[in-house]
Amino acid sequence: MKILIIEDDEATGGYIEKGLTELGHVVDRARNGRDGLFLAAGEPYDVMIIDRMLPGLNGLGIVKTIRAANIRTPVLFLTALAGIDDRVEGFEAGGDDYLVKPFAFAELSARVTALARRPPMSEKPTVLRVSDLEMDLLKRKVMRSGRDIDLQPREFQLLEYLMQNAGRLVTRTMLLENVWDYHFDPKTNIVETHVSRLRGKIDKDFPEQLIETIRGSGYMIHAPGKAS
Amino acid sequence: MALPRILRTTSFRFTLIYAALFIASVAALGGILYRSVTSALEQQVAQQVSREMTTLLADYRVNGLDSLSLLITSRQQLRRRGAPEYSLQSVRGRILAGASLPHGPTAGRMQVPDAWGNMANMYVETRQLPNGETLIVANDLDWISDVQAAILQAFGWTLLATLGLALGSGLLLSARFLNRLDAMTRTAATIVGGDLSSRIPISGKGDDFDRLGLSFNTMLDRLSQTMDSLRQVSNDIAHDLRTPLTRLKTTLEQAALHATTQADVQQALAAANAQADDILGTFSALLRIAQIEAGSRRKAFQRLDLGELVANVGQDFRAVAEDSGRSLDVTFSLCLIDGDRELLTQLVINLIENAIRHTPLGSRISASVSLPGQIVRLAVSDNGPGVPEAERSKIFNRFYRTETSRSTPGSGLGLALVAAIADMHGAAFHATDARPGLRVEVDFPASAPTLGNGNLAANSA
Repeated sequence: MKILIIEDDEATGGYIEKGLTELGHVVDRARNGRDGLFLAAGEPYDVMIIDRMLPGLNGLGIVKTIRAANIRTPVLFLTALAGIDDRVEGFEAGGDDYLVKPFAFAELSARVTALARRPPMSEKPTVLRVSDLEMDLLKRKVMRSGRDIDLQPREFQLLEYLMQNAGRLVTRTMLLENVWDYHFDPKTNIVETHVSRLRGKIDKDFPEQLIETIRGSGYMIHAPGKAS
Repeated sequence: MALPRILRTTSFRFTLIYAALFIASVAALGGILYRSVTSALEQQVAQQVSREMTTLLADYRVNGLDSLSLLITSRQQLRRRGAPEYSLQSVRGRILAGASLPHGPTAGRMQVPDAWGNMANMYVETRQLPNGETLIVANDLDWISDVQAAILQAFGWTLLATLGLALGSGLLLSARFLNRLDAMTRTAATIVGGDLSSRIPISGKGDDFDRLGLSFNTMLDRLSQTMDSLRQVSNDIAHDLRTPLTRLKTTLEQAALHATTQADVQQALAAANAQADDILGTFSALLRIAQIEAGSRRKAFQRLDLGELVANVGQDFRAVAEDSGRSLDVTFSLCLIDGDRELLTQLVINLIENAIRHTPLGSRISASVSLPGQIVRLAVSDNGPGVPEAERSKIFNRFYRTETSRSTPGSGLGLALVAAIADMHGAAFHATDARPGLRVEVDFPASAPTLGNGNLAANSA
C-alpha cells in the first residue's frame, strides 16, 4: 500500500514510518501541514495518517481541504487529545478513524489495514463468508456448515465486524468503538467475555476454529491456514 | 466633558430629570394661580367701582346734585384705605366734591398721579350727568401688584427649595450608588489581586444591587470551587502518580541490574509496558474527569430513555458478571431524562464494574431505573461486604480506595468519574447500606414527558 504520514514529531513519525516500511508499505512522510497538503493533494495514496496538531496548517484543515477537492482517501487522525469533542470534530472534518497517542504499533497497523480495505458503501456485500461460516446481513441469520446458529444481537454485531475484516487483525479498542460504540476503556473484560461466548456458538462444535486470538493485540477471523 | 464622577452617575441624571419636571410643574401651577388671582381681584375692583357708580347715580336721580355732592363729600371723608375715590366736577372742570381726578374712560384703567405725585394704576368709571357735570369713581389697582408679588415670591421660594432638595437627594442617592459600585469594584480588584475568597457585600435590602451582588458571589463561589478542584487534581496527580511511576522505575532498575537472560529482559519489558499502560489509563481518566467538570459537553445533551440505556448496558454486562462468577439483574421502566448518552453509558458501566470488582464470588448485583416522584433514580447495589458508613461519602473522591479495596486493581477513579458525570447532569448521588452490601443511587431530574406518562409497569430485562 502507499501511505502518507503527516506528523511533525520526529519520534512518533519515525516509529510509524519504520514500522509500516517493514510491513512492506510504501511510505511518504511530511513534517508540516503545508508539505503534507501538497503531497495529499498531488499524489494518490491508499491511506493517510495525519496528526491533528501540526505546524503551518493543522490536520483538520488539511482534511477539510482535500475533502473539498473531492479526494476520498481514507484518513486516520492521530491525536494527543483524548477529548470527546475532539473525536467528533475529527469525523466532522472528514476523518475516517482516530487514534489517541500513545498507541501500540499493532493498533495503528490494524486500523490502517481496516481503513484501506474498507469497501465503498455501494459495494457492501449482503452475505459475508469465512470458510463454511455464512452471515446473511439482510435476513440477520448466521449459519455454519448449513446449521443455523442463534446469536444475541451484540454477538451478531461482533461477528459481523470480525467477518467484514476477515483475515485481518481487529484490536480490542476497534471492537469497543465499532461494536459497542464505547469510546472509553471499560475496566472489565467485556470484549473477552463476548468473544468467548461467540466462540462457544460458532467454533465449539466444529473441528476448525475460525476466531483466532492474536496475543496482546486482538482477534482475527479467517479460514484455517489462510491468515494474511 | 470632565464632570465630577458623581454628576455622571445614572441616578444623578435621573434625579435631574425629575427635578426639571417638578420645577416645570411648579412653575406652571404658579403661572395659573398668578393669572387667575390677578383677574379675580381686578374684576372685584371693577365691580366695586361700578356698584358705587350705580348707587351714586340713583341718589342723583332721586335727590339731585346737592345731595350727590354731600354724599360724595361724606364718603371721601370717611374713606378708608382701599376704598374708592370720587370726584364730581362742573362743566368747566371745577371740583364740586371729592378728590381731583382726571377724566378717564367710561370704564377702564387709567394712570392717576396720587397725593405724592407718584403715578398709580386705577380702575375708573366716568359718567356725564344730564346737566353737564362729570362724576368719576376710581379705585386703586396697585395693591393687586402687591398680591402678585407675594404669589411670585412664594412660588420662587418653592422652586428654590425644590431645586435644592432635588440636587441634594440626587447627590445623596448617587453617592450611595457610587459607594456600592465602588464596593463591587474593590471586590473585583481584590479578586484580580489573587484573593478568590473576597465577596461583594450584600446590604440585605434585596434591591437590584443585592441581586447583582448575589449573582456575582454565586459565580465567584462556582469559580473558586473549580479552582479548588483544579488544585485538588494537581495534588492528586502529584501524590497518586508518584506511586505507579516509582513502581515502573523500580521494575526498570531491577531489570538493568539483574536481568541476565533474554527472557528476563522480555519479562521486565512486558511488566514495564503494562505499568506504563496503567499510568496512561489513569491520566486519561483524570483528563476525562477534568473535561466533564469543565462542562463543555452539555451541548451534546439529548432526551433519552435511561431505562433502555441501562437495559442495554445490563445485557452486555450480565455476561461479564456471570463469567466472573457473579450475577446481574436489571429492572427498568421508561424514564426520560436529558443527558449525554455516551457519558451516561460510562456512568452505568462504572457503577456495575465497581460492583463486580469489589464483591466476592457468588455476589448478586442489581441495577434498576425507577421513577419515585419527580426524579429518575438509577440504583446499583450488591450484597457484598459494603463500605463502612464513615467512608461512604469519600468513595466518590478521586483516588480514594477503601482499606479493603487497596489490594484490588484499579485507579480509584471509577466512582470519581461517576460523580463528575452525575454533577454535570444535575443529578444527586449517594452511597447507602444495602444490608448487606453497597447501594449507590443517582437521582436525575426527570424531563417533563416522563412525569406526564406516570410510571409505566416495570419490565424485567
